[in-house]
Amino acid sequence: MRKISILGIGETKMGRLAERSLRDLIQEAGNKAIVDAGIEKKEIDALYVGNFNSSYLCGQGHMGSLASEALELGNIPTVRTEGACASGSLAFRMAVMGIQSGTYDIALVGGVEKMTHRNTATVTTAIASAMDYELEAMQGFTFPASFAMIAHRYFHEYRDVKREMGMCAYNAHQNALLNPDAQMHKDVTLEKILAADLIASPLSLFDCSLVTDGAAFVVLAAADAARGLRAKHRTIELAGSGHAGDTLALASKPVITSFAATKAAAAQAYFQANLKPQDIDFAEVHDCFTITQIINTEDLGFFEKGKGGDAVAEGITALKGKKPINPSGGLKAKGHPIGATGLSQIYEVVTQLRGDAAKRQLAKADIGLAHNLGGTAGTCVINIFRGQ
Amino acid sequence: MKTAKIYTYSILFSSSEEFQDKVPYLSAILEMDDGQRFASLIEGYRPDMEIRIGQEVKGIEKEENGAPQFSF
Repeated sequence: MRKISILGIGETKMGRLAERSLRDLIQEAGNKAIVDAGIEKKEIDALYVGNFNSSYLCGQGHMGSLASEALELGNIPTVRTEGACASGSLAFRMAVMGIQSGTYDIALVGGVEKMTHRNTATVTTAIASAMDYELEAMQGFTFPASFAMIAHRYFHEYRDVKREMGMCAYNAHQNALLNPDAQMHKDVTLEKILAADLIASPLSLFDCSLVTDGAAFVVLAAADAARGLRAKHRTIELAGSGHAGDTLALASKPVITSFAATKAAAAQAYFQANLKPQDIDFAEVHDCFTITQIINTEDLGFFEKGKGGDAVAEGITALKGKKPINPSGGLKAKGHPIGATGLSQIYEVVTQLRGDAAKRQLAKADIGLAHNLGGTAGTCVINIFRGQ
Repeated sequence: MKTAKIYTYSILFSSSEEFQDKVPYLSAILEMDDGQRFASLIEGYRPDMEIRIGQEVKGIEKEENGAPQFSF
């Protein structure tokens, strides 16, 4: 299979950017990635854009064409991907397959979302379209409620990890303080996190990720094609990639305290990379809710089933721990611009592997993993990157 | 009247547009005796109630959009 390198990365600051247009966000992040890659626009063979729900939230569809026009990419082919919160890394995955097939040598991949200009109920409705509308949303389900139900079941099958969930949020906020692109720069205490109002029991405010506007882009290329280009950074190779699916509805899953899509995608990515969970130095995992982070770290094989909370309590997942999770601040504190989230995670992994993460730079960053989950774990994309 | 058990649940304090007048309300995944599971809003929840996994709920006469409704 053709080897793939990540040539360039770019992102906007994440946050409440209601006054900025989709076009504007795409231009900033896309042009940063192209400049960072040190390539000419005419060298880009294809564009893939992840976007979840701008059709509903912004009245804007046909995102591939919009992004291509915004970035002045001429007549190259464009594709928009949608897989709920995994839309961004689905775009990445499609670009990888486009290059591996030999069809393209260099692809630009981006993700974008604008959400904060709409009120909370409208945003909740828009996000709820990523669950089964008829069977779940019409029974009053929201995404916080779906993951709250997962949390209650986890408490029942293993143990109550509400405090450890709070510690996940605490770590996320501490890491985000060191990330200039993060939406929240807030030094919150664990006591305040644990005392916050309930959103959907047992999840309270700080257990939930943010509503975010933002865009993130990466340039990837076949390693053989990249060799002729001037290397600006440490070479980052895609060591392994996995993509798996599962049922849309939560009630249809035989087990809800572990995500089958994560396990299947992880098995593919580890096999392709010829690596084991213990070989991964750090990971950006999909912490749409704090309970999700704990479950993800178990499903990825970092910790035993039911012991993810213990690892958080022992400080293993903190920035200076043995297995740092979400050094960027994660969806919880860097932000969750849905269609851009998967690329924003890859942006952080590449930044760490290059040694460019400044105050939040990890001591050891040679192999990093990005885990992106869509909906109630109906879609999962995992990518493992290695610095050469 | 058929009964079901609470497989897992959440009490919602924030909702989508359509359910704003019901907050706080209880939604759950219910399990039938044959192991079949499905999502259901549970009618008649009051904030002084204690809810637990395994608790029994009953199907009620009222049907909305042809879907069965459950309550305590």
